[in-house]
Amino acid sequence: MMKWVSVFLILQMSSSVFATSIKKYFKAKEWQKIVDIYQSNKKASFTEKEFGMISEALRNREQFREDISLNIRFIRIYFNSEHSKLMKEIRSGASTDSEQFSDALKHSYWSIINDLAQIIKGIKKKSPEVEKDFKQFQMFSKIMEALEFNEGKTDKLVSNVQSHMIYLEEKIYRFSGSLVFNYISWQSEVNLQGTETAKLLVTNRGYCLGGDAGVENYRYHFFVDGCLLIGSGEINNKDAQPEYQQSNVPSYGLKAGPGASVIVSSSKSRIGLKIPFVYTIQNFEEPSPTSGNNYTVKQKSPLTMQVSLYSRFNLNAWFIQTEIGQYIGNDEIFWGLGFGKSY
Amino acid sequence: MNYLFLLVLTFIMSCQDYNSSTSDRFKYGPLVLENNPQFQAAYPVIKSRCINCHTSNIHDVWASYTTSAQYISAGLIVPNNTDDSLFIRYIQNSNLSPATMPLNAGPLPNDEYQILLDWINGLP
Amino acid sequence: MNTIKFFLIILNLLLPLKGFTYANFIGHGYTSCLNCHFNPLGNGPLNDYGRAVAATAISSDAFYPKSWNEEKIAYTSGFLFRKPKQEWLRTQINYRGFRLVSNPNGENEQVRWINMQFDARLILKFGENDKFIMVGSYGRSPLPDPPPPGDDQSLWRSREHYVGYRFTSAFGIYAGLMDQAYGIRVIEHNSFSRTLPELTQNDQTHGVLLHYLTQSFEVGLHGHTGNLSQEKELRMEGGSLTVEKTLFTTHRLGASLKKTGNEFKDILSYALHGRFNLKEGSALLGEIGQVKRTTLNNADEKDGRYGLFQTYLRPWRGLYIFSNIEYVDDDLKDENYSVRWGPGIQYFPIQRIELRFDLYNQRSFNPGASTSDQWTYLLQSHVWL
Repeated sequence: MMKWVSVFLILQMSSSVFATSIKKYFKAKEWQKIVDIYQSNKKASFTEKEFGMISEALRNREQFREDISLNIRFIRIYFNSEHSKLMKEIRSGASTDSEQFSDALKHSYWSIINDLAQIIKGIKKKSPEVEKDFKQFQMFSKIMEALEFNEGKTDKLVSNVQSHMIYLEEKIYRFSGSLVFNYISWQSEVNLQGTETAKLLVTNRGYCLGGDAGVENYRYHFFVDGCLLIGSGEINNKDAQPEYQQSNVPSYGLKAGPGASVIVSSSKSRIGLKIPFVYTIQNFEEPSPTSGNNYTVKQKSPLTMQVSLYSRFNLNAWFIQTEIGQYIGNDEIFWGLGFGKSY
Repeated sequence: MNYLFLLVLTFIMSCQDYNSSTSDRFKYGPLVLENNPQFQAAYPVIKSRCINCHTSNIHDVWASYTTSAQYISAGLIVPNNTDDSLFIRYIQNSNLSPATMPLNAGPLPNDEYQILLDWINGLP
Repeated sequence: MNTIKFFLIILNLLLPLKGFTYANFIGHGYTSCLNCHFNPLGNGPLNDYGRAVAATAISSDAFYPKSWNEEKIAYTSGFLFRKPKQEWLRTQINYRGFRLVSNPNGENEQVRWINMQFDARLILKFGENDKFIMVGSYGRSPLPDPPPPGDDQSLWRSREHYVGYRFTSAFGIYAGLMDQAYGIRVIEHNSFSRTLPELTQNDQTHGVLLHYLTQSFEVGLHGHTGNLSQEKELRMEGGSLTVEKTLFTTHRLGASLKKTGNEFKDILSYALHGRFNLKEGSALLGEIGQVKRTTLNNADEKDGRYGLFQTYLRPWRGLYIFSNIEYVDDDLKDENYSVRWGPGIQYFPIQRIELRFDLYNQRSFNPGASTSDQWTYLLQSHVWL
């Protein structure tokens, strides 16, 4: 018995010692010193004012979780019944008369919701812990709403935290895929080789049917896309000799490669680069013996690579996309305009 | 207030009058062409193959050229020198750079191209 | 009074429901042009609201001191950075010039600097909500090089002057020299959607425009008398109609019809167009149209078709990346057509300055022929005071 009485007396004594120091450091805004006192004497019994000063010090030193624990302890010690009553009213959906509740309690709730907001906003990656914090935050936002305390500020806080949670959600990379149909056109070079070499240009047009698969979050999209290409081209020799001209020369192939884009609007409009490899087969007739004696058609490698600028504009799941690319190693240009659907 | 009135009057009195229909008289009306048979032969080719685009907006006014001298002063042709005449160099048949015209069609029929060459080669 | 009005403008800025200079600014939620322009169908001088939007939502804020907020920036959007001294008068000065390079790095590279626009604009406005307006512009605009025949064409001229009266916020009448009511007024005056139906930068007409605007509909009915400063036989008389319907509160679908003619030709053109708001400055614009041109002296008819598709993205405030994709077939009887493909960048580093780069690749499709692409680029600067 004597032992317990002694402990009680020591605690009372130390509390008054803390009171003087806390007050002094609070005036001098020496927050860390207040925090140090609190850390060494967590179980001491503090007055309402001391709780308030320690809480402010903890917030200033950005020890938000510690501040939440402190405020919960404060509520339990001084306002347990008021808190229980309020929670009961909120759970039952009954209207709350905010005048019935102490200002100190309201301030303590305000501190907790602010601490939670700071904790959540400081988190860069979604985790079970942040979801737990967010649930708590939502509970305290209901309390603030019921008490009609700092309404404007609370709304702003709620909106900021909700935006941050959306941001954390949107930061997660998820699978994305689409089917695309493109109208395309490209040029390529063909040589007529004989006594001299004549460079001929082929102008092709056609369609490319395919899609892409990759991952995207709110800001970036990394993907591999590919399509089967079918088209036809026109070719002629502008020079008088050898006389050469063909129309609607069929062309088939495959175009595939990696790409990355930046998403710049909430409707998911994006712009990026692709590096597609293009494999095309196009068979040209040899010049007729009368006009092109000794000349033969020499095609360049059927495999080429491009660098292309690409953009996509979503209208819900449907989208329109554009692409303009340059073949690496020669001057020819490829472009495509298409539409597709995301999955 | 008087200055304002004058300013408003200036706006009204000084309309621009060059626009897409300025050359309609030349494009669609009866024309008096230079009395040069080779130019008179070349003009229908130019009209059917070139003028529609080269008078379509502010950038060119070929429809109003009714003499060889106007083509020369516009820097389009060099008398008796088809290789240095931009007009010819641009035509696909020329094999000269850039040989891209007519833009929306293939090369000219050979007889039409020859008429143009004859016109330029015939100029003193 | 001015202070109150400016304050109201700032408040309005917070409500993204209005219209702006370029058709693509539907991507900021602005569907109708009237809110930012004195001309209800766009183009020409900006009103106070339009100037404030140009200074804030459109232009970058990177070069302002950190202490400047949107309100302060908007306050400096008036003529010569000042708040207007009186309600009834507005003045503006515009300059637009560009370096145009055709066949870059080619044997026939051609480099030109073109002073496309240098004009002063004067607006007199009276009554509640600027019910009555008088708008005029006067300035220098280029003639073809070499100039067209005749000695009566001047570099200095008025491109528009008109009076307007809005009986209600929904209905107004405008009379004078104005752009024709038709299609999307893109600023690229050489786009096929403007050249084929003859709607280029000098194709304004005198006439009367009836304009009707509600949340869901916009209609412009325009009677043309032609350009009265031209000789009568050249004036393109007739009329045009453009109608737009708002879709899902943010997009617009429209249709246009125009029939005009002079003593040499008749033009009948019709088009469908759409403007789509893809949020935060991203937008799609599209127009497809057909033009029937009849030569009167031989009754020759020629049907042409054009398509315009523009895409806009705004990676960050002040910067737009766009694509300009165009198609033209000026005679449907043959199989020849061209496609012009142009990526570009438009940058508003600070209010009153626009810098722009356009690259054009033009490809012709002709049966039996294959020609090299035509390349052109232009570096453009636009300053407004």
